[in-house]
Amino acid sequence: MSITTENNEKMITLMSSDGEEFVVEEAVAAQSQTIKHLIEDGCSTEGSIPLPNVTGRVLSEVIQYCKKHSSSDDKEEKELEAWDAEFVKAADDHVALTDLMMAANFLDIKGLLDLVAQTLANMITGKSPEEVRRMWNIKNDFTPEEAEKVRKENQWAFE
Amino acid sequence: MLVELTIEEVKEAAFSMGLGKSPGSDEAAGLCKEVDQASDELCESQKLKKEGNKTNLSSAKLDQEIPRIPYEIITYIFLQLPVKTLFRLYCVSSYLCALIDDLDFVRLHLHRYLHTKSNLILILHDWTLSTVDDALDAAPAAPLNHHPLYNNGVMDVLGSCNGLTVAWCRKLQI
Repeated sequence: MSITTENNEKMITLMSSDGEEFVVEEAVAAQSQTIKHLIEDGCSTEGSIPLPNVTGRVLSEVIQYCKKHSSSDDKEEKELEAWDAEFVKAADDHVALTDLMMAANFLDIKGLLDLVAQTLANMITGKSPEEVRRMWNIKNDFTPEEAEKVRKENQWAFE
Repeated sequence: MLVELTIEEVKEAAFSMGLGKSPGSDEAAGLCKEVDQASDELCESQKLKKEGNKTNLSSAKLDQEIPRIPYEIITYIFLQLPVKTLFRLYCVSSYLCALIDDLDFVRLHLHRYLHTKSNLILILHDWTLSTVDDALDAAPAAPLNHHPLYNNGVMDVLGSCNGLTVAWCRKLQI
């Protein structure tokens, strides 16, 4: 549903996969290219915009990011960087960050996608293969012989 | 005499092409500043070279999904990683092996590095190779004293592309 506030700011309602509704300014929601296109196509006039891939918990974080980034201009770049660092620090573990990244990907918010990807990349750097497997629940499908061979070929990367 | 690079040096240089920063690739790095545009042909030949040296695992289980996380998300994260970390991730599973070996991924990774990371410039002066950061006033040139052709005689560089260099040297006749 789209309503207008006293400041003449158009409001948009977003609905998460678990049915939670968020009313945000159009400028905030339009940080997401996906939502921006939906608004342009007139989807926001017929009620709330459903976001079936994003839970309420993740969507509230995404909205927090979009609010901050729609209200800041270029002069505040340093402050925004510090805010970003705190924002990903709050998400803390890789599961929450991966959820956030999948939402940023679906909603097409490039800044958020880059920010979270870099954070996850920093988490992986320095981790052993075993730790990466545990982190993402990846099955080691090498036979012992293959594992030995791959390890030998890439030994230099462990030195 | 052509430079005899170890497989590891070629692997890293071939992958990092243009990165010039990764440890071990100094020996394979270029005389001039790394070129800005990626050369598809070079990528192709380097890819083939790399595949020749590797276990053939990229018959690839790309369709074998990592639980929960889509392929494009993993790719996006891996694009931010340095080359050495990527080679460490080869050992995680054949799925990641195939992803990192994917030619499109190699191209994207190179493109990203050329546009985001500072490059090292190699200078050949009086037959001594030195490295300089591309911010020329940042630091003095650091001589490289341990590359494969060091102390081998008169050295010259035939050309370089994306961080890979062909160099040769000739023993001095006394």
